[in-house]
Amino acid sequence: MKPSAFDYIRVDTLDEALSVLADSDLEAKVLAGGQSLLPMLNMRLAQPKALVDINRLAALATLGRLEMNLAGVATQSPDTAFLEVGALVRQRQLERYALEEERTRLIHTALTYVGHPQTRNQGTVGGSLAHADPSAELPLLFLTLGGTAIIQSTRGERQVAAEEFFQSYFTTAIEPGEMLTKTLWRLPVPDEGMAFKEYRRRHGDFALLAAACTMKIGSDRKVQHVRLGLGGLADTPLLVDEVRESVGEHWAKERARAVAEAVVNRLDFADDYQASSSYRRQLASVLIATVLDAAYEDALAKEGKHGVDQG
Amino acid sequence: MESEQFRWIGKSLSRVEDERLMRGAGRYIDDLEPFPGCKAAAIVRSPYAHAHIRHIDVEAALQVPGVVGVITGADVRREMRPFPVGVPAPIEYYPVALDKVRFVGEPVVVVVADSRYIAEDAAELVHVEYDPLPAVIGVEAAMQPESAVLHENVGSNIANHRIFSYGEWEQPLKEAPHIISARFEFPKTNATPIETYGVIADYAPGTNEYTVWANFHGPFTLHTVMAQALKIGTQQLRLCVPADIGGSYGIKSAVYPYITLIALASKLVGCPVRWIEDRIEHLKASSSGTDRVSYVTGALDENGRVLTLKLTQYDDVGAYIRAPEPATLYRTHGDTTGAYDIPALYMDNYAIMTNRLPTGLIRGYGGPQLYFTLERFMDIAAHRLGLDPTEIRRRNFIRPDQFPYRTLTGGLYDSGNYEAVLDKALELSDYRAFREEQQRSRNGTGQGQAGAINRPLQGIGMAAIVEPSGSNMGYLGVAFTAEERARQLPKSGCTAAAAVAIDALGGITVRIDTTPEGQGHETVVQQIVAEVLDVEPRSIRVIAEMDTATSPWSVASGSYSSRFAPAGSSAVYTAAMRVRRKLLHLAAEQLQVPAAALRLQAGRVYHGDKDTGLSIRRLAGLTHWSPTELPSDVEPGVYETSYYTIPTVTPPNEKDQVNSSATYGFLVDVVKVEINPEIAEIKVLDYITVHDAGRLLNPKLAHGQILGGLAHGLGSALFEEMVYDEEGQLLNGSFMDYLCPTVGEMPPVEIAHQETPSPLTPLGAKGLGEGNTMSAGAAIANAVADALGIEPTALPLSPTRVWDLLCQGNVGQPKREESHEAIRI
Amino acid sequence: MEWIKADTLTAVTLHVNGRRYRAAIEPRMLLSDFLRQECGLTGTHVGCEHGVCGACTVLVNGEAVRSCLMLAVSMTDTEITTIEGLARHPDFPAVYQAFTENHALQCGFCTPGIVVSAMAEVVGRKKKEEEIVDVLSGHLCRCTGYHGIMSALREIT
Repeated sequence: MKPSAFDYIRVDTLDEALSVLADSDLEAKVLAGGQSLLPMLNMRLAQPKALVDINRLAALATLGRLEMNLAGVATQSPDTAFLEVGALVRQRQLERYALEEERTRLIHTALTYVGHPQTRNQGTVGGSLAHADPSAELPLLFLTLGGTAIIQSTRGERQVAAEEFFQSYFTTAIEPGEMLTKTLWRLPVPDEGMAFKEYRRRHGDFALLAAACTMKIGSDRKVQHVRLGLGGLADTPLLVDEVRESVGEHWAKERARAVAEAVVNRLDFADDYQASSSYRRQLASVLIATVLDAAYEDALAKEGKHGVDQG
Repeated sequence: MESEQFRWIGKSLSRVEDERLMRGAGRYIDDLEPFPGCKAAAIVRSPYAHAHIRHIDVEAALQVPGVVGVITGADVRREMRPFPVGVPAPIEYYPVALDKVRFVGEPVVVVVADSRYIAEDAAELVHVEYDPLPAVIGVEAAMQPESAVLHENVGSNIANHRIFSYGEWEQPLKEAPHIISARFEFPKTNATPIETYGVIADYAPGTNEYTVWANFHGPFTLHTVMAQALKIGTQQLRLCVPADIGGSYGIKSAVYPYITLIALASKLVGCPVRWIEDRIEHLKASSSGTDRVSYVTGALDENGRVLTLKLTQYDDVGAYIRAPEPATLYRTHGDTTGAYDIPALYMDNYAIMTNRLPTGLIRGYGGPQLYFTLERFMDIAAHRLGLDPTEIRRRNFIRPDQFPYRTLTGGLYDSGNYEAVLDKALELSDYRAFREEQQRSRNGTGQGQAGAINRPLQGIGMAAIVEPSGSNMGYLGVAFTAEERARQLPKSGCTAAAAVAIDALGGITVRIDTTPEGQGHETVVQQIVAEVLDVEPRSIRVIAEMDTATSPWSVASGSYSSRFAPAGSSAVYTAAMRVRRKLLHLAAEQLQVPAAALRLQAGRVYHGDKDTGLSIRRLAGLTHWSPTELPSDVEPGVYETSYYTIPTVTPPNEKDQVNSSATYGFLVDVVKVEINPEIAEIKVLDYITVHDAGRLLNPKLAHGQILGGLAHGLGSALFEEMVYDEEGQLLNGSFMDYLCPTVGEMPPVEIAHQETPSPLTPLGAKGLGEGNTMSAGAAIANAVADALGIEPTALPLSPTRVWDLLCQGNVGQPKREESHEAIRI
Repeated sequence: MEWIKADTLTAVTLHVNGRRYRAAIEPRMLLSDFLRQECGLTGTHVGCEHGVCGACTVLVNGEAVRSCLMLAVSMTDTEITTIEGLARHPDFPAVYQAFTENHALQCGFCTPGIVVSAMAEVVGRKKKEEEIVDVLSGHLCRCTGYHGIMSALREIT
């Protein structure tokens, strides 16, 4: 399987990249890590007239912490933090970075499920988010944690919240002529519990179903904040609304099952050769409950420790 | 060979192949450039499973710069004949579709260009108009009278149908105390070697000869098939096989239609042509194992002895029943009753054509399908009778004093001790302890308590199978009736050929016909010849390349049905012994002593303990340098060939009995599984397998072959199947979706051996490497049945299938009887 | 900015195994094909061309990547190492010993990719069992059942 012919454009600046993308006749596709794009080119499922190789844009490879809120105003609170991930940051680079501290552990865990080390060496965070495979781990995590996508074009820069970024199968808010240049990821606060779980047939496969959860419990053991995201169930990753009802309440195991039940009752489950809709429903039910319980246990362990440190 | 202390045979030598392969210096088909000016081919393939071809327009393709030519069905029809097929039905199979396409991916047009990139560009511009026809999917649908018919001149989709009966098969089905019936499904799988098909062909116009390199590995009966299709004499098709092939497990046997197609392309475009298959093509259009629907009914007496078996088997051979099919049904003909002393059998075998990829050789080749049915049946019967599954095997096993054992269907089991292997497997797996713990655990939770089970469920299962090796070229004859066979030339044998030569300075070279694809034949051949001549193994040069113009070979040559150990090694050994005899005869003449008093040691000739001063180098040298000084009965040079066949693989008799294989090994698997019922996921906790493959020529390599076979078996048990929709489209045609096991899916495996040497081969070796591919499906399914109390009847046991089973049954109330008999260990 | 039109043959120089290889190629030529056809380095094998089997794995700036998913033309600023280069590395003899003693290869087609990954990610790095499994899971082998390979990798980590 060999790709069909395309113009190859290797840019040295972001402006060059954006002006090439702005030329709609070129139908140029961005080449970053290529781990999603090249298989499609090789199978001739995608036949772009041009590829824009952005790998020389070092400015898009920055990775670091931002202590500020979304309006760009530095806050006093050390707890509010974002991870600034340039679009060209390699998945493996983020994986190694995220191993360094507890607040990024969820990102590290999810990344260990992304493909294989060899594909993570080359694949980029931006590429995975822009590709928007509904079974992929990075889109799920970005949505669950929350954050902002920075999208640029010759017309300027705009910001799109994670909740608005994924629109449908392999479709994001990125318009023709635009490019994702970086994403800001909300970092869980130090005592926020977190969990990630994925069901897949083989090590390294795409997820059949995946879930990510963060949960903050107060010293009164009531839920202050909880987010639950699901992947592989729809045309995009999903944020589960039902967990919001738990805010202000004590968490209990029955809650996890109740949320799971409520969610699976309102969703439609695809039926195909990989899994029957009955099986997907069962998996979803178990997955949701498991991940909620795990996030709660993690929050409890951290809150206890935090409480001990404080007291 | 007498069992004395061997120096090399039976030792776990590391492989001579490893160094070049690890350095990236292997020479696989796509690494070779055997001809100058070679162009590249790409193939336009059918997007429909079943359609008439109305029109082909290649004009736009021919205009692409860099394209040198195009081959269509019109060319093939003019230049070729249909391939001979292995059944009476008049099926016409060509390497491209002529008027009709019959499976998605069937070749329609070949484009030849300067590079594969350009050839694919041009292939996209070939315009084919099709009139789609209803696709026939599923054997049961294919047999309906109103079904569409794939081959009009055959008139139905039944490519072959034969009925066999042996012994008093009918009475027990009416009278026996226990009659048990079941239906099973075995999936269509591809063994997916990591290297795909490759063909490089060149045509010599003056002599109408083809030279073709390909990673083809036999059986070389297919050489005659290819030559006949190309309308040439067999000596006009020079087929060369590289020394390095990137795996096959039988699949590359079916590169043969592509060999003829690319050869023809070379002739018609007037230059050498290279075609390297890509992965998408391989999954869609290379070859596959045969999926089977089988119905079994067995009658058992009060003691659990099987009195008769009735088997109805429907094999889906795909769109064309291409040679050597329906071999999947007949490769195991001689061992249909497996390890059991069953007195009667009825078999009703159908080979059905549907609009899917045609089938061919694959690891196990008929064994996985047969033994899934037979071994699941034995387990179901055990539980029906309240016997432990191990106990019902003991009661039916062939006993050691019955060997050599002739089966109902003509198989001649050369040697074995089945109970001893079973005992060993049960000991290694702590079977009794598991059963006792299981009993305690089930009593603890209480029988009959309904409700969801949240804890993991464990089960233990076994399979006991006879592993055939060294196929008899005559077995396919039972696809014909005795009357039809009487009108043909008989077929038999499992001939292997080898040549051992010593040159003027004592350099030893061996040529073999076993076309290895990773089995390490070069190393084992070094061991055998080193043993016979008493030299260092690494001093022997083994040529694994095959060339039909210059290698010794015959129709049975190649690598398939695990034939190296029984047949290939025997030819090598015999040729080496001829060399040894010649050398010692020469030495005896020189020294004026009887040859029987002489022996070889470290490359020199000894008389008793005395070094005679003669060496292999000197003796061989004499035959080259000064041939006129040789005794009158000794020819110059040292070049001995052996064409070796095992005499017991004779043609089928008029009662449809045939000894389908030369040697028969035996193995018992015991598998423990744990199932998480919430997510229906099976984890194999451990896998014990005990093998009897006669004498092991190299235990390290044997171990590797067993593990590889087990991985393939595990694949079809839990992960692998080719999935098609109702239109015949392959839904999982990439490595993302066709689930080959990775390291993470392999369980812990323990392998043990018992060696009851074969009396039929000079080294006592039997083939191995396919056994666990044949047994794993049944062993794992039996363990799952034990854990869940529900009977799986189809593979692979993917979580969604297991979930369906769990939903059908109530896991709190096992359907199976608890065993009443103590387990005999 | 570099702009190479489709269907144009452009001279491209890549640094492979410490030497320079120059050829006139189309921009769409895959790195795996460049290595095999233009450099004659046929130790890098092609098994799927969609990044799953791992047979094409090479090192780019010391990291293991899939050469079937890279364009040769985009690799001019990099150091590429193939199995042929690694076979001359001082770590190779120990890797070879471990593989051959543990019968970690049969047909050898997936092997160069595995050796490349191993030398970049496993050798001398004291990896835990799950980490070794993670690296090896990026390679499909249909011959060995993986146990021999794992034994070899445990010895050299």
